[in-house]
Amino acid sequence: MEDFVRTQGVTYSYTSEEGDVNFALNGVDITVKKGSFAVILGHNGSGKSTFAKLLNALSLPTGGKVWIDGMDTADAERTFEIRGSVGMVFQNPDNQLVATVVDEDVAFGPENLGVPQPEIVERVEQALTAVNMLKYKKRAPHMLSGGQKQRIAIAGALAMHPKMIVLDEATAMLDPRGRKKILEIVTRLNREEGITIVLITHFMEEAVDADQVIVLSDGQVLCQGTPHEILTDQAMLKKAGLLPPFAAQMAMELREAGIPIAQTCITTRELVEEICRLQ
Amino acid sequence: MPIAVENVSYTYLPGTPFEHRALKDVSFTIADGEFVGIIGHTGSGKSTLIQIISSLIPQTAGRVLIDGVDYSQKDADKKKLRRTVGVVFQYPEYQLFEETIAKDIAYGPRMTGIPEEELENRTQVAMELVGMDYETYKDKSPFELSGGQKRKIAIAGVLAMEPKILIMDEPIAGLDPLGRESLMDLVKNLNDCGMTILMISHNMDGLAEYASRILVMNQGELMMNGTPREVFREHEALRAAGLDLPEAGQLVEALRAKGIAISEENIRFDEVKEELIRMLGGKAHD
Amino acid sequence: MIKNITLGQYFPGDSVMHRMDPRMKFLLTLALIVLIFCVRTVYGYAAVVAVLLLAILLSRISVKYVLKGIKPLWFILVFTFILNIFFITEGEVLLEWWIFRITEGGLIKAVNIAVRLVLLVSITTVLTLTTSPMEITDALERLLKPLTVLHFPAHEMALMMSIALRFIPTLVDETDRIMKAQTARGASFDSGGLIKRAKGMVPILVPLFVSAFKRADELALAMESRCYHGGKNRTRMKVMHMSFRDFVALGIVAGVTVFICFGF
Repeated sequence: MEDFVRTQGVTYSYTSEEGDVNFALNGVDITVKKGSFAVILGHNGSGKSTFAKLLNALSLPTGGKVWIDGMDTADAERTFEIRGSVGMVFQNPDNQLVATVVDEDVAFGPENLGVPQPEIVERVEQALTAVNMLKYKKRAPHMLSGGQKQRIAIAGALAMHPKMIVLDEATAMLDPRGRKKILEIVTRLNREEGITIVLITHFMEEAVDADQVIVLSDGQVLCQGTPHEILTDQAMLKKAGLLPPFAAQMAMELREAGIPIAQTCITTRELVEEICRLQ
Repeated sequence: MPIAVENVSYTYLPGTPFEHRALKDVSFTIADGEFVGIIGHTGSGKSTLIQIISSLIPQTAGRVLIDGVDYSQKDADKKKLRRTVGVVFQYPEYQLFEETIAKDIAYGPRMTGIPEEELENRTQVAMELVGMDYETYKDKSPFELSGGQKRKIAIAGVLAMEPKILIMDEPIAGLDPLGRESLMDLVKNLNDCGMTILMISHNMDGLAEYASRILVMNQGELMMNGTPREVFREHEALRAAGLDLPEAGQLVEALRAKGIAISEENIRFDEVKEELIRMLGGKAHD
Repeated sequence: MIKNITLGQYFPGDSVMHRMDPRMKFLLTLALIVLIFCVRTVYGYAAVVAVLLLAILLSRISVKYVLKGIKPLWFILVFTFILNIFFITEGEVLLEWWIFRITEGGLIKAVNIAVRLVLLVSITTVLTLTTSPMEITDALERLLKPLTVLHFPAHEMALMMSIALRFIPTLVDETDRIMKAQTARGASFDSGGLIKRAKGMVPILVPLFVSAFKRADELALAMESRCYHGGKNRTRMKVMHMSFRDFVALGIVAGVTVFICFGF
């Protein structure tokens, strides 16, 4: 499979008021395959949100290169093409909806792209259906819950017919139910529509079904691999300021107590299977 | 400073088409030094409840007594109430406004009538409690800090009033795993020092671990009031109220569904672990 | 605390008035307002009132509800009425008492102004009751579009208005939350003199501004990420088209205009 995202030696530096040069990102090399589901984990301040903005040419790296679907994000001629193919969903549900009515907000992206009117109507219906929010299309965004607003934000991205959606801590401000719903929706979009997903989060359990997990720490890639490799590596996670998910922690402590549980348990389901096997 | 909530009801915008009964006849008491968790899905009335307990909005019916005093009365000593009951709202970092961190933390104590000469000491103590070095940070602007640090400063601003009762609305929202852990530790410490804690949270594992009692709110009613063990074994009722079990409880439930006889009483990480070790014959951990 | 203020007074519905093209509604409202100030006879007023009543009838909103819009204005109404009646001294004296003198000219002028004010408010109220703020904004954008040739930022103005409309409820909620948080820290906003009260607002205003700027930043980023690049080459989902009813309305107002211009 071809790469959808490729970064090479990406740095992002800024000068503080005292004149020190700080690196939010320092030499990041990442590739994300077309149609895959990648999760980027990192504690607050690890550089993961800075990284997200590079994926849609919202900001450009101060060093190195970012290619999206083969396009260099520094190529100003292709900025809109890149933004059109990479949908973004941000952290705060309140601060990314523009219009006073849900359907008009979803239409905002296609309108900017200059999509003909009858097609916009069609795209809006489809996008709202995909996030199961069609019956809210005439509502005012401020009357919706946080999770519902994020679903509208996803619909807004979908209506642009993107090839990839980047969720920049989009679940951080939601309650557990809202979080689960968002995860269900993006997983479905990934599997059924083939949309590449980059999910940036600090909830470990959101990484368990990913194709690829990348751990960022202090602006660098600390580790990358499959969920099973990453989420069971307690020492590495600790170094990154993270904690393993519940099942992985439990499996590890049981092993320490001498019970031969396979090391690869990262979900409750897997842990249950292991315990049943040992019984 | 026991809290008694007696038949409290609250109606939003009464007499308009938007009328909504947010609380319906809620009653409970909280003794000194308790750690009470309040759980309930969005719109269950839990935020309204804590605002009424802290006299920020007036209840439509019923009354709240704090140490026997009804502070919603006109002649009540509001400053004393503010000193007694500290409130940490969701995303408290958005309430910071002073030029320096020390000034911001001293704002609450100053407004509630603490003598000037005590302010510095209180600021220092509060900063130490939340793990921020006084000398390093006192003269910095709160707006220069990272999100997690801002939250600590906002919490210190409430702690500096030395409240007997601390009410918190989902204090860990938006924090990363270590931030969540350190905040729960802080609250646990405060509780160990005798502070009564009332905490709204979706963090079922944290509550299973630390709370002495849990109130379950559902559609404006107090649906359950019991120890974490009593509450978290009611799987069906919780699910119907739109709530999840703690992770340990979910594991127990999944194991029991597979016919493994593990007690539903286990709701904490360590309890489940010990029981599994016993069952699977490993060597018990110290 | 401040949530009870209802902003905008759109009355959702599906009446003939609601379904009219907002551009036409906006233009006809303007035309009627100009007309009110051209009226010289009772017949002229009767014609305008007839149009107004017809509009209210077609909007399926009760006359009482529309007149509610005048309530906040009663003070201005009474004030201008008194001002006119006592300070204009033209024509025959009708009543004289101490230093006050009411003349025929003054009375006519006072009644005239009062009637005009009531009509003006009622007509605009019918517009805002049957047209959502978003529709008015859209209509304005499209009506002002020809002016873009003269570099008038019609699209940008409309976008600013719609963002303001979108964020007013959010900021009202936020203000409420910050006020409660500071109240819990012992702040009080309703005691002390003017200066003390103004100073007391600092703990609300600073956080509110900080957060409003943060919101603006994030919204700008979100808009950019959705390919926003100004009004150029932008299409719109919502189409506005004039239909039969719009032209009937135009005809009625045109008729009244002719009637009034011929001296009524």
